[in-house]
Amino acid sequence: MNEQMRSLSGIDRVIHEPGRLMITALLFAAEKADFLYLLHETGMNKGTLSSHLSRLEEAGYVGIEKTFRGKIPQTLLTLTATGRRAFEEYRGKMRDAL
Amino acid sequence: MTQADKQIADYLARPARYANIDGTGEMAVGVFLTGAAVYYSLPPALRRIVWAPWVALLLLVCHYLPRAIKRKITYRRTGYVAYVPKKTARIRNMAAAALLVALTSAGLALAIRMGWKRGALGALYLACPAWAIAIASAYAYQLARRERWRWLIALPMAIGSALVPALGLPWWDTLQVTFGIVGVCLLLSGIITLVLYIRRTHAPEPEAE
Repeated sequence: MNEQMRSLSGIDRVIHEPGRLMITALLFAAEKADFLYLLHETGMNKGTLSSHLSRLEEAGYVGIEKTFRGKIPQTLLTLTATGRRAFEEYRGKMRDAL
Repeated sequence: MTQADKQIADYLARPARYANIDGTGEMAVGVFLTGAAVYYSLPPALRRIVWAPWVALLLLVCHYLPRAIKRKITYRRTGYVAYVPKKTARIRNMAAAALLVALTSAGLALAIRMGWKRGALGALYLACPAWAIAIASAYAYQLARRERWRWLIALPMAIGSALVPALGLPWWDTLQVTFGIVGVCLLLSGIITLVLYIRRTHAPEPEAE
């Protein structure tokens, strides 16, 4: 029980939030994705998704690149190496704890 | 596997599933197989003339049609994702392809060595429906268990292909008809998937980003 509690106390709070966990997992399985894809898959509104992405970017987990697809602006998102490590650690700790 | 782990596994599987959200995967395979079946139904003299342009046209359509649909429809409606298959999945797919090529080559070599005798021809008769049923099973396992309407594609594909040898056609024609059945089924499935996708999704407002 103590081991489980110790695992839970060390859990990454940035990733643990359900919305951010979903974004991180989706980006973990992809090389890159755009904002529209995450909007479609997560079902969040633009404001909520933007705020979660800003939080993940602050933590150094997500890289954001503004570009154009033809004349249409496109926001490309990638999970950084730090983000990938953090996600793997998070999964490991959750498995240990539950 | 805990509930949380299952949920994460579902998120992780979504980018791979998204690759065929618009049915372009099935459509490309369907176009290729239907094109091959149509080609082999042409008179032999015409076949010799159109072989190179036909193959080039098929490859171009299979390559550019899915890309064009994705660029003009999918990416504008539900976004873009670059999915990278896991290393293990890549190795597994390559091993499966190598095994299939090795078995087909060995079967053909054996058939040629036996001078296309009765036994070798019998094996080829069996190979045609077996190949089609394997494709129908993979289709049912990957797609039909999630969307029920796909059983209307998977079942005719499997049953139709299984019944082709009963027509008593030469093995080459048996292969051609099997190609046609599988190709038309996959093409139809791709078109239905695309139509349903367009009906269910809408392009976002211009200020989406």
